[in-house]
Amino acid sequence: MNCNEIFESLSDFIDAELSDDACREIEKHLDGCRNCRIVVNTLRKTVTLYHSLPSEEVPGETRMRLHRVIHLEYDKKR
Amino acid sequence: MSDRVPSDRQLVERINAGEKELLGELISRYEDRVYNLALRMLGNREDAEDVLQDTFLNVIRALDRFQGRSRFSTWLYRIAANAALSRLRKQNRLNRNEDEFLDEVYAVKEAARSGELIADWSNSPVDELLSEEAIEVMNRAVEGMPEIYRAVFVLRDVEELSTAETAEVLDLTEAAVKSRLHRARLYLRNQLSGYFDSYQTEGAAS
Repeated sequence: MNCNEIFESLSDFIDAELSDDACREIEKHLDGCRNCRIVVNTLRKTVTLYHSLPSEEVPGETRMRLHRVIHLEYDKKR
Repeated sequence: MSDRVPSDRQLVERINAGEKELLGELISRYEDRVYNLALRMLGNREDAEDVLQDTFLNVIRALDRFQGRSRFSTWLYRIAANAALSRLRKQNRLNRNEDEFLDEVYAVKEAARSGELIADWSNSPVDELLSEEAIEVMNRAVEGMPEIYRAVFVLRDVEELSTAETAEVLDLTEAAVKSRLHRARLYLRNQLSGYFDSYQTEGAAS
């Protein structure tokens, strides 16, 4: 397999969603192709970084307003 | 029995039957997740707060029509994603050219094939890479994508929904989710490469 052929499968490769055979083919290519190896490693790192983004909490005042508005809407429906 | 935590579906049934005091519990389970989804999709707190409120208003208005055919969380994410997309549409922030985006996505493919040396920043630890400035770059990069790529990416790689769930939320096939996710990741990789590469070069020079 060449660079072009493996390119579209790289996300599936990272997510471990490929068959064993397809995985082996890609690994074989990566062994001999420095650039593709870097693309895979930096792609994987990109996903890891977004997974690691700190999540934010709803600010206290917004939370209080939200609960108030939703309770009012519930009453309106009844 | 009474101290057992009710499932989402049980909560919904009881709220529909008139137990208003459980509303707070239902909102609390999902408010942070909806807020973060909106924040990543829209890029600012004010819009995210509006989307959060719109989402729960729509949820409450339709709650007695929730059939339980899909999971409550999937149903809620669908309402939230639609609220975020409709807000982007209202603000006319959807005009990112898809061809231009795809050119950037596939620039790395050309570079890899041409033998041009690609920068490798993958060995730096996450803690080191995740500076405040880098987080800002990451968020702006997400905003640089056409909205459908943004929605797929945020659901899959930030909220960590499965491919099947993301497909259900956005009314796409699983194949479409996978292909859009891949393009989104490649685009973001390129954007981060631009940032981390110059950052490391500067670091090495000083």
